[in-house]
Amino acid sequence: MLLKVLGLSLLLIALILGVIMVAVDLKQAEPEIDFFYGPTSVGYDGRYVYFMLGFRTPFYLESPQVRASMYSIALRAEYPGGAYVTGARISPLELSECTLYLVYDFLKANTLEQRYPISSMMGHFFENPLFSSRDINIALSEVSRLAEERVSRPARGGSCNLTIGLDSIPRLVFFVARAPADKVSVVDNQGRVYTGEEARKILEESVGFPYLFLPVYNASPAPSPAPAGPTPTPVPVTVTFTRPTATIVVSSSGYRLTSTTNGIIGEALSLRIVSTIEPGLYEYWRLSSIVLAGLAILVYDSTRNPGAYEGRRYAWLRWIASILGTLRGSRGQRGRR
Amino acid sequence: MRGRLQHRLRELPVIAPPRVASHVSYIVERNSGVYLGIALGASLPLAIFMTLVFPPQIDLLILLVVFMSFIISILAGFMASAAAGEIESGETLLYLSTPLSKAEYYYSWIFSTTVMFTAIYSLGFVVPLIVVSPRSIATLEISGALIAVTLQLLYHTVIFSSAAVTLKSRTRVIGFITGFLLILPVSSLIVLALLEAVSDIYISDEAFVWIFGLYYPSFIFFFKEPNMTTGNLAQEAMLVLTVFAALFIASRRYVKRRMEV
Repeated sequence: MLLKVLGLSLLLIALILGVIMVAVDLKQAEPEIDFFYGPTSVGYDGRYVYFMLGFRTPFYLESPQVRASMYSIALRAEYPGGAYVTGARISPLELSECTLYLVYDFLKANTLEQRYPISSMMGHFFENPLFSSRDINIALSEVSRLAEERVSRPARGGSCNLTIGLDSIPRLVFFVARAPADKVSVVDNQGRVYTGEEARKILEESVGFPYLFLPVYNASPAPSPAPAGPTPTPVPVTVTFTRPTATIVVSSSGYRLTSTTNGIIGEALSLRIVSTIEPGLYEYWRLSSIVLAGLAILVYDSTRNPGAYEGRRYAWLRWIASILGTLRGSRGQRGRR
Repeated sequence: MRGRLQHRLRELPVIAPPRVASHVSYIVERNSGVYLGIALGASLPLAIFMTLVFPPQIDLLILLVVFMSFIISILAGFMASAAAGEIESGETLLYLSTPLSKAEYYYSWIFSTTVMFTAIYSLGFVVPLIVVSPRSIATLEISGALIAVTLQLLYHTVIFSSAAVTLKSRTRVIGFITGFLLILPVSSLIVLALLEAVSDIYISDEAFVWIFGLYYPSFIFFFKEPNMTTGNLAQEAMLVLTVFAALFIASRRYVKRRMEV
């Protein structure tokens, strides 16, 4: 009887949990991203040009509907059109190498935000030039400390891929992608193209914003003045989240990045993050193992105390036990043959 | 010396585990609805919390677990009072007319109320955690909180079921539970606060925690500074085990000499 109550309790708990989980998954709202940072940072260390971008995950924003451990994200960052740096365009940007950093841990990110409200700081930074770059640097150095390097692999076709198996919620995701400087060409506002040493020189002069997040940033170069002439038209930044059941497209019309020290330091020309969120089965696997454990206990107990499982209420259990008995019998017969 | 020891051993009530197990099965069978209700009651809020209230706030989760343990303690008290009801109505005589001894009767009630109750309740919160967020169990806050409330539930159920068998009246048992869970803790705090206000006696926060911990041992884990440490958990366990040992010794003497049905 003890086993019966134990097994039934396990099944009951699993049933409750299963119903809630399925209901939650069926009622998935389409998550949206309301914060998107970047590609905000363009750095240069003499060998590589760095780009950083970051966003708050929809898991955080639409968290009630999503349990992080059920999903994996595949992110793909592409830079087909290059990016502008201080009015000069780096193009084409061939990403032969990507290093992706991820501030993914909810608790860490939560702690971070309590200490440095980075999302609001970043938001203010975009909109409010009075926000000092020092504050941003403090916040980003914190990000740097907490970030974990998750993927560092050569990318083909100018893209970076990152797949995250989630067992905790990614709240803030930051990427750093880097491209070898010798493969980068720079296009200025008049359309002149610079490569090799010339391009490198422009990079050294113009890529000035000292993001500490960048792993090997080369000292702080002198801030460059705001560019003369027309500002390049931003191409929309598109973030696409595709799920088997839903496709969410969040578009932004690009960012004009302003700081008190650097003036206009860059604008995103074209950046695309394709994130495939697929329901993970981890939770359902764990749930089914609980169900199996409950069933195993009940089947075992029913063979020992069949009297406790009489009546229509336990017909299903007797049926399962009879199937298992049949299987065992057939194995036995095979053995005898 | 040896003679006295033998005499003492003869004095101890004889307990046959198979008979206890058989009676426990009977009690559980009769009250299986209550146990399943406990499993449901414990797991439902947690399941909802873990799946809907996301990202999980550990503080809220702990608060929920503690609150649920309080509710379950009250339910356990009512469950234990069923033993008193049996004795009160004379139903116990029926069981004792079988080979079941008084001690076996007593301990089977204690077992079915405490161990089974606690086990089912623990399943109710451990299973949702394992399924939804297994990593959280590895944190001291969560695992410590689970152990602390489990110990508290054991503590309450042992005391309540002992009281039920001793008081032999359902009304008195319910009165005892109300007094133990609500009236005594609050009145103790009021008395201490008044004492501190009208005299020069200083009562430290730790003393408050320990006094409240006598009624709710998990308070030692949660509120004794520095809070939520393994040291606090060990102290709570020591308190619970000491009370268990005292109750066990007292119960054996009681069952042998004074228990009447």
